[in-house]
Amino acid sequence: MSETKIQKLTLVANDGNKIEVDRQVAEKSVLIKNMLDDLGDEQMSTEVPIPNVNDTVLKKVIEWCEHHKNDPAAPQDDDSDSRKKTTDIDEWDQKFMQVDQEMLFEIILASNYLDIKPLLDVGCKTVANMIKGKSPEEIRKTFNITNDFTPEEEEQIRRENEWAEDR
Amino acid sequence: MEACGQKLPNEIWIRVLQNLNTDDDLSFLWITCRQVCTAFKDATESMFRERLLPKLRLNFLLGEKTLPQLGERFADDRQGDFYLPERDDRRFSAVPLSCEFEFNHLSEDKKTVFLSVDEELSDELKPVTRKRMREFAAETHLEIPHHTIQIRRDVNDGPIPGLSFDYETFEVCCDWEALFSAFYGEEFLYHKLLGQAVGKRETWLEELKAKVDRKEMDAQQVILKALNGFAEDNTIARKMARRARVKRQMQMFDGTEWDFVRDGDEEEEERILKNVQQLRQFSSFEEWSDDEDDEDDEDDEDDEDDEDSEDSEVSEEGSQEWETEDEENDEADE
Repeated sequence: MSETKIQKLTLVANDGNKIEVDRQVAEKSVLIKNMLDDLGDEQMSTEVPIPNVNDTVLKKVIEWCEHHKNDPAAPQDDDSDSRKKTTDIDEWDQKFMQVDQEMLFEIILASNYLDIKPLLDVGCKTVANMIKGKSPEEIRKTFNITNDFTPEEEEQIRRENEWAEDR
Repeated sequence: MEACGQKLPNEIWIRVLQNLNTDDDLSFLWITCRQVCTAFKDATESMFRERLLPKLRLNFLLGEKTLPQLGERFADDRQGDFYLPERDDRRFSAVPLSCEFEFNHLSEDKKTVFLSVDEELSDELKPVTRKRMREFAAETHLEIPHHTIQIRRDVNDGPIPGLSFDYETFEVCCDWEALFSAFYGEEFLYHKLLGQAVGKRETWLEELKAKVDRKEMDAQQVILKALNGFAEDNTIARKMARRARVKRQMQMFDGTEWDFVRDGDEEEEERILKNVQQLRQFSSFEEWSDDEDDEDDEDDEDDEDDEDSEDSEVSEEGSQEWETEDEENDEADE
């Protein structure tokens, strides 16, 4: 095993663009960190393809990782993240997430693929805050969600709730 | 779960909805998000089933129980065994009788929730409680219900659809989804009405602020006035939401077009609202194992050692320990 760890990694976005990043930054991604741990540094001295993420999104994700590179490692258990408040987004992250919806969704998908849980959480919280106060129809329209209820199901649930909504 | 978002997969949408978990978000989740698509509906119901259903309590107010006086035989339907108070104390001649049920388990199809008494009833109380529960089941109390429902920190006196008693085992069951729809429907409407009222207060607040600037009022007076104003809005919003719910109950029960001005009892309404508000205040002091500060995260245990030692996680089937101050609720019942 090599004594000196590699300090720089080259990530290759799905459009072929290469981005060199510090190992510490890249390791915010649990996917990349595990890859490094499993394969060893020798195998990682070449380029690391990130097939699901394009250059623009990858740069944005790296920007977030750079800013948070010294943050303590996030808990890995999935249950623990279900109890955070939506308002609990720090100021830098709020500004970071001020992007169009297409980019917001791309960041969320990329962080999910790269397994960067804190970034995924920030993305999900941002979307949750956007949902608040909207009607079901507005939510569908804003997030391009298909209403897949049968007419009967839709009528039943509408009748169940209309007394509380139509005021 | 069927896919519904064209951009985000369902697993991500579930994560998004899990972030809507403050007390104020719950009615929005149940009433609005469940209507978006089947994935939202399934995710919301699953979250509520796992997180909130185990925190469901039903409290039945069963009138008063008269204690036997000095020299009087215990008048219940037991034979042989009787109780004689040691002294005549009229202060305690009658005590409020209530029966609180807590989540026990779900039916196999997960549609019906079963609740059992929070603590074993004494043999002395069983016969009278059984009798009163039978009377309770035989009567209909829509406008002035003899029960309260608590889900975590929220309390109201709404309907309990599909309520059924087992008088031998002291167990009740009901349709929890319909119960939640009525419960959170009222909460949703309350939040909506309160929001509208607060919105209307903006000009009024500006005027108060201007008065402070002109030194016509001091800041403390303004704060007090504003607080009173918001408290009043809160009371009115609660009242109107409750009236809307009673109206719907009447319509569903027998098609009656209930109108509070014509049919309502203001005095009774005020008494009930006050009682429910008091219960809400008590419940607001309760601590729950899933409170927002991640007390029971193993990874946070360094920070939360004390709480963690007391906490217990809700299991898959919802069995859990209550971390409540039951005495407070008992007091509230009185």
